[in-house]
Amino acid sequence: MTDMKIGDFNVTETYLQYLAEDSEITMPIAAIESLVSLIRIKQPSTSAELINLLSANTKTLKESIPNAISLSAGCDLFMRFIHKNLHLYSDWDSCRTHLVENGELFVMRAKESRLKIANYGLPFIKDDDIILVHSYSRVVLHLLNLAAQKFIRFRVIVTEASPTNQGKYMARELRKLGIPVNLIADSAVGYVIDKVDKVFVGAEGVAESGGIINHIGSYQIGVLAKNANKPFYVVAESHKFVRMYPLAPNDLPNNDILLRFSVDESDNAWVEDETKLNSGDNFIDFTPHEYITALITDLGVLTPSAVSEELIKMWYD
Amino acid sequence: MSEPQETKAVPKTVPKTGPKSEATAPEAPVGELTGKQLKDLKKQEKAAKRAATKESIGIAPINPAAAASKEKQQAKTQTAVKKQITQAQIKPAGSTKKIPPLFSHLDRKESKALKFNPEIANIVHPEILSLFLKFQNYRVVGSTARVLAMLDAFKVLIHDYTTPENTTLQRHLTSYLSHQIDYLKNSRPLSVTMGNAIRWLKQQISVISISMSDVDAKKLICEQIDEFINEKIVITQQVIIDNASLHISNESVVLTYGFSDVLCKLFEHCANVEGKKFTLIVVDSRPLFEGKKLVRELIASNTTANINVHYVLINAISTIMDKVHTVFLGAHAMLSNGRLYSRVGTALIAMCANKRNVPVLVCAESLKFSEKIQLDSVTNNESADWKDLVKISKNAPVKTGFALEQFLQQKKAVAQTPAPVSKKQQQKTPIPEASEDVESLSAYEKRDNLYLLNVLYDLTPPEYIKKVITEMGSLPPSSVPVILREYKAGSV
Amino acid sequence: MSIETKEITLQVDAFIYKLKRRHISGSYDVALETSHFLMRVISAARWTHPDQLIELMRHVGARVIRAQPREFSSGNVIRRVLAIIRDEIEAHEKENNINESMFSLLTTNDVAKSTKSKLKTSDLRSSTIQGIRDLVDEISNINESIEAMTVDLIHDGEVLLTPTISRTVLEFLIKARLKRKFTVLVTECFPNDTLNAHAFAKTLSDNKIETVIIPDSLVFAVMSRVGKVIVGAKVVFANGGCVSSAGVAAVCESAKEHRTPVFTVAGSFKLSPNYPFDRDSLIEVGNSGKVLEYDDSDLVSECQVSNPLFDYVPPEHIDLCITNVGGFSPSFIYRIVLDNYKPEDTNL
Repeated sequence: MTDMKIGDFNVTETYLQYLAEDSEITMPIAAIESLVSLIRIKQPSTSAELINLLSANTKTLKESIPNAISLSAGCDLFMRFIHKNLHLYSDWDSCRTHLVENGELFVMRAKESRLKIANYGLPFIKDDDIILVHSYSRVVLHLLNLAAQKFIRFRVIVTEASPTNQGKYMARELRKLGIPVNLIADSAVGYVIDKVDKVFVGAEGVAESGGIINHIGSYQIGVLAKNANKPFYVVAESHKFVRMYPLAPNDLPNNDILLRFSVDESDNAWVEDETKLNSGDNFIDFTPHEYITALITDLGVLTPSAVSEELIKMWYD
Repeated sequence: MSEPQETKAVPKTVPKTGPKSEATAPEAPVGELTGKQLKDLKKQEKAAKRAATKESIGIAPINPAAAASKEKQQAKTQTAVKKQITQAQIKPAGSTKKIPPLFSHLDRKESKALKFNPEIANIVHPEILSLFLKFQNYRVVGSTARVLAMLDAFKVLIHDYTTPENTTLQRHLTSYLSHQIDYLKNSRPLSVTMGNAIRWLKQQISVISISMSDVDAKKLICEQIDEFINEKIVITQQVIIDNASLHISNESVVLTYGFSDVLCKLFEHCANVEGKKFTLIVVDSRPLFEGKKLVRELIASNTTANINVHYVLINAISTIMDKVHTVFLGAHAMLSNGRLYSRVGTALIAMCANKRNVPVLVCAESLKFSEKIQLDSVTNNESADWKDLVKISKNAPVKTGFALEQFLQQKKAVAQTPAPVSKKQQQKTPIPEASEDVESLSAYEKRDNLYLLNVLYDLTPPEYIKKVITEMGSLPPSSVPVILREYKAGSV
Repeated sequence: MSIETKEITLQVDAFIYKLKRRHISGSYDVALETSHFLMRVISAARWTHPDQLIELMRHVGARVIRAQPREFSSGNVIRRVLAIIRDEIEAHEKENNINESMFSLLTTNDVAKSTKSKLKTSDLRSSTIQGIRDLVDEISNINESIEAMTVDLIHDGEVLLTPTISRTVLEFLIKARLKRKFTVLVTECFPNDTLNAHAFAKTLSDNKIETVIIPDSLVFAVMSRVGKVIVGAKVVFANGGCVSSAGVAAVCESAKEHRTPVFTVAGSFKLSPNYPFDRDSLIEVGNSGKVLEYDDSDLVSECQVSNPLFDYVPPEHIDLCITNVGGFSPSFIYRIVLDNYKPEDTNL
């Protein structure tokens, strides 16, 4: 990216490139990275310029990416950080250098935080557990991997998470780690829930209430788990905490594909064939906090209400 | 200082009204019905039906035959006998002020003691007297056991019965039985099974043809009773067991609470006849410890080779429930609003199981179905002796007779030396150290503000019950009234 | 490097024996004893760098906790003392304060750890011991601060139910009686605490509180008449759940079923920074002879008997947790825990 010429920097492209280059990187981190690249390339000379530049690009980024919740968590965090720290550095240059130099560090830290989470989450997994996992989540995979390494013998049920079918990938990855897996259809969750000991899901974003925004289907699993009195744990990095407060499972942007009615069968072809999906289609839902037993984050095991405290601390300190 | 007196006043006044209302209650329906029946003898059936509904609501059993009597004198003597029974024999002994404020409406049977006088012995059959004691002392507990004991007693009673002059068996026997039952009710309130059986028996007596000789009639009734027992209890239980045993398989973990006749037979059947190996968790509670009885029965029938018995108390319920596959509960009664009326603690078990998605199955003979409705356990319940709670013993309370008790008290009073003053006040902790004296509440009666509450039943909401297994098949609790209607239409 | 001198080892061993043999039991006594024990250890300890003291305390703490893992208050006091020490040290090295927050992703800890502490051994010792003294004061005066809340929680003519025999609950109720008139239902806590339950009820009735003793099985039946349930907690975890005596979980569950509010009463020394991962390990199993006596020898040989002493009450069955620092909803306990303990000491 360094060879990119000044002036034709495209924040969206950079963002997507980051995501493509490293499969381990999460959306908020990619967003932060792209903003850091932006600073490096644009070389803003004053703090006001910096802030204007950042907000403009954040806006572009958020608008151009259909599922902007997760990345906006990263953008917001970064912006807030800049705001808070501008006055701490005596001279403007050192501030900028600090940010630019530490770009790599952020990625590393984010990966480290996954390890941290895995360590916090490890005591939750016991021998003989049957764990239900929804869709694909890097941090859940990390946690289960660690547990398997520690010779905990557990079994995993993975939902396929249609229509994106990310669960299939998750199941494959888990089997590679030698963990016994059963891949089930999303519709079978109610059937197996009684046999399940606990549920782990990742999150794209953790809302202010402590509820989570995640791959579609999380909400219904949460409801079933609550009904069956099974613990429902969310595993997520704290940089996914986002200042949002959705009110209903569908109170999210760009989610209207599921509520699009048509008499033409071909409009619904995406159900059969995932390749027919538009890139702009979003398959996420919101699981309110009352369905969540605890959040396993790099800040420790939090109750949903602790999330809002973290967010409040960040914005009002 | 005025406050404690206030609190004292409330419980004091209540017991006085207790026995009084009890004394008047059984009389009222008799008088009422006498008038009715005198008016139209021919509509006896209708009246019986009405009476049946009244009984099921809880009004004391009424007796159509007695009412049929045209002689006023006899009616008079009947009420007189009734009065004698209700007043003379049962007298509260000791202090009765110990009624917890919320529960003052519950009938307190605890301090009633028998006063044997020759007059009573003339009226009450010795078989009933002995049954009275067995009931009162919890020698015979459980609705099935009680109804069996009662029917057995009735057989002896009927055998010994001779019809007085100027009346017929059909008319007099029911009234005679009613007196016995009234007396028996003073030991403990009738169970729903007993009520149903009595209603059936009276119906049977009333339809015996007048032409039949007394000897034949008595024989017939006894045969009918045997048949009733066989049909309503023995065969019924077999059907229930056949159905319920499907829910127990090898390796399963089954939880039960207290003692239930049909469940005990079920577990024996599964272990001995079907040869299933399973774990049975017996949950028990103070003060009756009926679970011990269950374990004993299971040991006696050599089932422990196949059944791995766990014995826990009710406080362990939430710890142990996670491992359980099925919960089996017995019933005292199934009420027509789908609630289960059973030994106190059952509701707690059912709730814990339901919250953990463990299915709760109730095994109940249709004899236990009642048309009563009730919404909570407090409004209508049977209170037991608070003294059972004073003793901290791991065994079921064994009651001493009244005379013996008095004797012991006298002895105690004589032997009592000035109580040693305990010096255990050195600590500033407000909880006084529990003394080694087992009966730390022995002075309980003398204390203001301190009450003991011991009731026998509680009510389990239908949402905790997955299914009720009866001889008519398995049904959800909401179908109890359906069975009641069918049952009533068919057999009575 | 080992700074555990013989003297300290002796102290620790003696204390551990006392704990193991249950010469000290009950969270209140254990908390006080532990704080006095730590005072002795700190006065006996020799160190050149504060980190050594922390290391010693962690080592001692780990041993004590391992000795009696279910006397939670000893662990809590040790962590409190560690927090006191760390605060003392931090006060001297202010810049070294990296807070765990969402920003930890972005901040760089280029502020190197100061190698030489300016903090003098004697200063640290005296201030720590003073800190422990304050802690002891706090523990012994806990009831006073809790009692202040009685008026807000109990109304006249209310029926309360308590399934635990707890000193704190007792004092709470007695204090409440000064302002309010109410009825208390006390469960028998059979088989482990029945004598104490009777004594508890007696004390309540002596204080002019209308008291009704009920068997444990009666709880569901009377719950519809109960206004509030008071639970004395043995330990309150970071998620708001607590451990209390056996049977309490079922009581709280039935309270929740009846929408009856449940509040736990616990001194701050009962707050634990741990998360109750393994519920089975929290529950101590007691003498099964109390469940089935040897009188019932015919039964004893034929069946398994267990007598759990504790119960874990999940936070969703608790409405309020009252501590000497105030009343909190269980979902907020994590915050109070953070105030009292340092996250790095959670696992010793």
